[in-house]
Order: sequence, then structure tokens, then C-alpha cells
Amino acid sequence: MYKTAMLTKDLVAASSKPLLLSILAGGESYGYEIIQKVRELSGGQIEWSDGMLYPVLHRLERDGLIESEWKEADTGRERKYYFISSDGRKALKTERRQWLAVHNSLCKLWKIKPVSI
Amino acid sequence: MAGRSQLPVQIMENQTRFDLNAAVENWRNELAAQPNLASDDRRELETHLRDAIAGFQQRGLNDEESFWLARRRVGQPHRLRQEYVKSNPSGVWRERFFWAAVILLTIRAWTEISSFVCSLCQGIAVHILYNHHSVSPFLVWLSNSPTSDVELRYLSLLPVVGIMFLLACGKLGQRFFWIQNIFSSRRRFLFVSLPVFLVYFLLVGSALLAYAGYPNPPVAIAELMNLLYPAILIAVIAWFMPMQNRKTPKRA
Repeated sequence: MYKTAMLTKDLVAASSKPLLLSILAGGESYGYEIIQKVRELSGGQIEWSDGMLYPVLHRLERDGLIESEWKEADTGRERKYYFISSDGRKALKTERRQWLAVHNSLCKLWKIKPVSI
Repeated sequence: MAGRSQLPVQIMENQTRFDLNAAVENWRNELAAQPNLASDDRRELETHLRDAIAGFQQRGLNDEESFWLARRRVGQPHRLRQEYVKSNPSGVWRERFFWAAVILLTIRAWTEISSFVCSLCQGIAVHILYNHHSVSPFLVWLSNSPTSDVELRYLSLLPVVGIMFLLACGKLGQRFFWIQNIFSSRRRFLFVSLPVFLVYFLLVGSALLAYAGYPNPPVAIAELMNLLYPAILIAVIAWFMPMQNRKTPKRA
């Protein structure tokens, strides 16, 4: 379906934390919306299986990086919303630095213009 | 016949109308049968399923197509459970301890039952030999058979090992399915196991006290403590039992 190859399993697992934290840093969200957003952002290259998302969210919640609350949406349907905590914002900063370090190293090797950290 | 060329799905569609609510209800029950999924988790997954269904419906798919696609997206209930377990490893250990205790209790119960049956047979053989003056070699052998021998105890475990092996090979199918019902809830398990244990404790304990109590009280007390061992296993099983939450999650 997609011309570009899908991400490997290991990369999907490793990138789930910074992706989730970054999405939630932009505002609260719920599982279905998060998956749609990731699909949209990556142009279909990152395809999260729906069942895999919740255990990851719950782990982040146990680690105190995000919090959750059942809330009624505009449609009248109740959903569990997740939002980032202050610890989560700190963790996101670290993640950002680390991912950009990897990114920039690869950019230099591949002779692409790196981004400023 | 024209009908023969139709696909089974089409025939089903023509014969019965797809009931979306019933389908979601079925899916919810299937999910509820998975241990290690808390009611909150299931409620969350159900809202996800409903969102996914609504998403497909908006794209113009009918109820049935939307449901099956959404169901596939969310994942098989047992796979979901595996994913949840992976993120919560202490749950896996609880399950391991649970099964270890179940096996220890099964082996203990089986050896107790088999040694009881052996001593019963021996008693009957002795009774027949002395009261009816029989000389049947089988009865003589039976009356002399050492019922408390370690070898015999281990030999009696063979059927248990055999059943375990057959179950592991998938040869017994659904025949032992009823056992699962005992473990479906903590209350049900205690309701079955505690009376059995009490009967065992009272019968064997009183016999033991009558037999060994007078000449050697310390031995009798040690043996009584040994009788309490199954109670510890029962407590461990009840404590670590994987929870199957039967409560219906709040409608999303």
C-alpha cells in the first residue's frame, strides 16, 4: 500500500515514548485519536497496532510521565483522556536531545543538513 | 441453483440482519473472559472499538464491515491480553505462582486419594483373608502391599503426569474444560476447595490423633501441621488467581 518501507518493530517500540509524549505535550488526547494522529504524521509509515498502544500508555502512566481521566466527549461518549505531567515534560526534553543526537550523527554521515538542538 | 454461486457471507447477509450492538456485546464478553484485563482496560478498549467502528462508518462502510474491520484493528482478545501482560510483568509472576500452587495441590490431592484407595483395598483384602479363610494369591499380595511406600506414591503420580502430557499435546481437547469453571472466580474456587479440605482435615486428622495421639503427641502435632500444607496452597491459589472481571463495564 505504501511505497516507503514500514518501520521495524524495534524502532516502533523505541519511538513510541517520544511520539506519545510529544503528541500529549500538544494537548490531551485519547487512544483512537493518538493512533490516527501518528498515522497521519508519518504518512502511514508508522502503523501502530491498536492493542499495543494502551499497554505503552499505561506504562508511561505508571512511570508518572502522563496522567489519565475519564471524560465525556462532545458526542456524549465517555473516553479516557491522557495528558502529560510535569515529569513527562522533563522526560520529553531528554528524549528530544537523545533522538536529535542520533538524527544529527546520521545526518553528518549521510551528508544531510543537521537540525539545531 | 443461483444461490449456490453466492458467497457464504452474502447468504448470511441475506438471511439475517447484522446486529451491531449484539456483535459489540459478544466482543465485550469475549474480552471479559480474558484474565489480567482489568475492567477499566476493557472499558477503554470498548471505547476504542466504538470509535473505530464510527470511523469506518463515516467512510461509508456498513455496520458489519465496520465492526469486523474495527475488531481486526483492535486485535484478538488473547493477543491483547498478551500485550497487557508484557507491560505488566508482575502479573506474569502472579500467574506462574498460581499455576505452581495448582500443580502442587493437584499432586498432593492425588497422592492422598491414591494412598487412601490403596489402604482401603489392603484393609478389605485383610478382612476377606482372615474372616473368610480365603487363600487367593492376589488377596495375599494385596494385603501385604506396602501402601505407604515411596515407590508406590510416585507410581501413583503416573496418571497425573500422563494427563498433563496429553493436555500439553492438545490430545484431550475440551474434555477437561469443566475444571476451568472452578477457577473462574476466587469465591467459586474457595467454595469448592475449602469444604473438601475441611473434610480431609477432619477425617485424616482425627484418625491420626486417635492412632498416634496417645503414644506420641509431638509426632501427631507434626503430622497435623503437615495436613495444613494443602490449606497454604489453597490460600496461595486464591491469592494469585488471575482475575476474570465479570462486571460489565460502564457503557461508553
